[in-house]
Amino acid sequence: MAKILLVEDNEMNRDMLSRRLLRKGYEVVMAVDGEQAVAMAQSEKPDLILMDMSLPVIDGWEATRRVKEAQGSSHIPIIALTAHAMAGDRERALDAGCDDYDTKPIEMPRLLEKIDALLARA
Amino acid sequence: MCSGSIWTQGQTVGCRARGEVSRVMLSRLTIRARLVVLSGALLCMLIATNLYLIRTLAKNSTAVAAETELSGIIESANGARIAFGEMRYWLTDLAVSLLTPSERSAAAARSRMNGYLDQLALRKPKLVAEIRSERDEFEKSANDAVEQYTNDKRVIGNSLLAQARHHSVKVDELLTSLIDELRGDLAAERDGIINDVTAATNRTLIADFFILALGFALTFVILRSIAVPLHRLVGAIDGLSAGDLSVAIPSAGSDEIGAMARTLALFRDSLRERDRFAAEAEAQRKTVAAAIATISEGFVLYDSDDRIVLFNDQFRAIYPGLADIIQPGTTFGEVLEAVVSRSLVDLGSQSPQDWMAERLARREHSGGFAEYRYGGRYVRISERRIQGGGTVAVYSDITELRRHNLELEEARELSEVANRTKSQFLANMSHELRTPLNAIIGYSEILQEDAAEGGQDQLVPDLKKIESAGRHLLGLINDILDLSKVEAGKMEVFLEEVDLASLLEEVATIIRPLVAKSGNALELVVAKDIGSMRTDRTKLKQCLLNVLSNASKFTQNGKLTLAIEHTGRAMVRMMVSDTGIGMSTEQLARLFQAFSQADASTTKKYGGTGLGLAITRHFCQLLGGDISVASRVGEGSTFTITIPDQTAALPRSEPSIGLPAEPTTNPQEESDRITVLVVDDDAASRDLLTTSLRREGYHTVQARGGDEALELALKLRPDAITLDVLMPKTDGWAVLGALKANPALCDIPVIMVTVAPDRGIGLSLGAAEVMTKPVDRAELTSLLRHLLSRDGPILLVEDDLATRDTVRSTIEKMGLTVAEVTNGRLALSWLAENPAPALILLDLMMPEMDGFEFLDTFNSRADWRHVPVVVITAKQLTEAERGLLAVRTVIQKGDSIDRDIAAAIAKAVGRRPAPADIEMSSSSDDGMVV
Repeated sequence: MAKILLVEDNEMNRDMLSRRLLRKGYEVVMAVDGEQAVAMAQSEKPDLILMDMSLPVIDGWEATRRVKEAQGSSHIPIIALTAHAMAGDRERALDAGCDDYDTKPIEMPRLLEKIDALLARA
Repeated sequence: MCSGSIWTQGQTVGCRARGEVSRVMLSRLTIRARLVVLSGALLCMLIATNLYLIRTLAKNSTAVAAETELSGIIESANGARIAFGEMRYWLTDLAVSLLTPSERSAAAARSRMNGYLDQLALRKPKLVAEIRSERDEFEKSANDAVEQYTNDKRVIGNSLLAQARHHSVKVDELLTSLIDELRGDLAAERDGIINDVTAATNRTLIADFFILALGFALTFVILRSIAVPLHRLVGAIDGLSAGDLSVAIPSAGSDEIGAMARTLALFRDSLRERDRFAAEAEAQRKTVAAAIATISEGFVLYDSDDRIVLFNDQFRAIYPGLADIIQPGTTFGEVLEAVVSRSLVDLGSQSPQDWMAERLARREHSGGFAEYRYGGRYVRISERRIQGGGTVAVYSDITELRRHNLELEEARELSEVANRTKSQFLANMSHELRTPLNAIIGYSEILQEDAAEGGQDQLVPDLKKIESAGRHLLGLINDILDLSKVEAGKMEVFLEEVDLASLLEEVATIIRPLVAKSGNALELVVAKDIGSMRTDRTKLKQCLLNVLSNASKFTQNGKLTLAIEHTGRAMVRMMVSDTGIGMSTEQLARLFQAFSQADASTTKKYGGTGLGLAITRHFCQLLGGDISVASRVGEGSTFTITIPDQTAALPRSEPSIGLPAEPTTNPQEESDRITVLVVDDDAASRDLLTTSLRREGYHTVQARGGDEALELALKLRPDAITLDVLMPKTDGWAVLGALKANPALCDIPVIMVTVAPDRGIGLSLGAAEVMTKPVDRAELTSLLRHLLSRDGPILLVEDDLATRDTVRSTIEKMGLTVAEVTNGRLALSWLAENPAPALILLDLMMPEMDGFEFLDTFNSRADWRHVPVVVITAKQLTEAERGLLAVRTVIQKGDSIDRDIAAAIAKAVGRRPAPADIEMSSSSDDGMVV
């Protein structure tokens, strides 16, 4: 089963989303900040990364850029998750190298659709 | 005669009237005719007089001849008496002597006497016959006496002699009486002559007198008929000469004076006309002068030699220090020198010479305006050339205006800051609210699944309530966010082809549960072939959902109708009608305002934020349409959304226009070629330019009008634009203004093409060049080559080392070269020594010469005009400063400076970013992508 790296600093959201993904049968590893995410992208070799954008240490955009620049992790598809819905959020995420984008609160069916689509492409 | 002082007024008038009548009658004759009549009349009188005198003289000479004849007759009578005396003597002698000689002498005397008597018989035949008879008696008696004496019968002889004597006495008596009678005749004749002569003399004298009088009268009348009008005419001429135009011109007869009078009347009339015109012109001049004096701006008119002709007090008031200089006749140059030498103007950092040169150059470009600071006052000077030389200059004191503008600018900035803060706050708030909501909704979903799996079904409804409340809260937050985005101008529109039938189906599916909950029925009125439209699907859907949910909220057990139709001019109309409670006029007025439901109490009863309709209206307007409502209390409401189908706005609907008709190679190659947008409403001109440009290898796109041009410019980002000036609706100047006002388009060089070139205006409005129709192909292509050459390096004018490093690395990453200078003055000298750069990146705040000053000089050089300038600044620019920068692209120093600069460079050097990049770079500044 596919391994998903969930990058989320908010504990409740991390817990909630990871449990729901586990229930759907995914293997879930978690990172709590951008730096950890970049490292885990290398060490855990996930099949997909769900990246919150407002993260401590380094933010989601920068983390995405680094993941995409680093050898060994540049192929991993990244879905940006953000509670921001202001103009340009989507563009900024895609610009940073994200493959897709979704807003919080998570609509589970919609998110699963995006995850499946990216995993199918990989 | 008429001027006799004793005449009464009435008589004088009568006399004058008669004189007038005679003159009027005479004035029908020409003066020549009058003079001919006069001399004819005088001549006739002379001839008549002479004839009369001749006749009188002839008569006199006859009388004198008769008198002479009578004298001769008297002589004859005397001769007869003498002859008779001789005869008597000789007969007496004969009687005494009886001598034959006596007898012969007596016979001779008798014969002489008969001769005289014959003459006398012509005049006095009777008396002569009597004389002859008596003389014959005497002769007989004497001869008888002689006989007797011969016979010596003396006694008888004596008695016969006595008898003879008696007869002789009788003859003498008769002769005497004859002579007396003749003398009497002669005397009578003489008296007759004397009488005749006297009478003739008298008559002649009388006739002469009358003729003379008549001659005088006639001469007087005729001369008067000439002299009087002539005198009046002279009087009138004198009057006119003296300028009295009210002078009366004598009435015109048909004679020469009449002709003169008519001519003079014409002359006078023309003088009056001239005076009238002059008066009108004067009045007009006064009006204009008064108007000029009244206007609140300073006004000066210069003649073609640039000398002051006219000015008003306000102009003087603007330059109190120039009161002695400002007067008619002063040249503009003198005014300018005084302005500079008396330090009246703020020269900025310019030298007086440079300032004056620039000021004069500006003046050459008619139609422009400039602003200067004189002491503490700001003056806007607008100068225009007038036809036939000369210049009109209007000086407006804009100090107050400027101050107001600055205040407004500050206020606007403050409010913009406040608005940004608000938007940021809302964005943050929504983030902060969504995060816990995310957890609430998520966990309630998990719990629902757990409860269903764990057989605790009784918990599910409550968990659903938690989830539903969470989602409601999320909806409210989304609404607030939407509204704040719309109000911050950050709402983006994504146009796509929308299949209307499927959209409606989707909307119906979503809304049906809500409709059913209130016991309502939903009816869709839509044609099967409704087809599609181009618009933002999500926003249109949200609008329809908002209106429908609003309708079902206020309708119980009724019917909702959603109707959709295409209307004319590419518009689509959607109507949502309900049979609900309806609204009053006051409620309608507040309906679309945010946070305002029809009634504050409705919030409690019906729920909702009251944001739905406000958002709907904003969305409709964002999509180019609007929403309206018709409603009556108790009778339901009808909401009508009308939005345009943006398909029509796409240029591809015009196959002959927009994209080139020529067979093109592959699209990639096409986009690599340089694209020139040809804008002209006239197809022939358009085709001509297009053909010329294609021959030179340019890719061309045509636009038929200003609006289409702007659309295509936005869509295609051409490398250059040729722009006709005279076009219907949106003319070339307006298009130029719009192009230069759009940061995304302002660097595209625009060549104005016009029949009536106004290069000054064109260049001042930002045109790269102004060309005259018909366009010279060689000139156009060389100009384009010049404008589009992007071979040079990028000139970076920046004093801050760190920024220079960042920018340099960005440029070098793009594979381009960069030249660096650290202030405006160095930049100018670099420009003077090197070929034109591809682009100038200009910092504003620099030592020595700042960016504004640099641009002042830079803008005045026509050969640099085509070089794009991108301003980089950390400064928050005021509107006034933005105005000074004219149409430059401005990049704010900050996080994204490298990306913004890369985009600007890419655009300027012709490596245009892909459409997605454009969208991103535009959305990263405050622009809205449509």
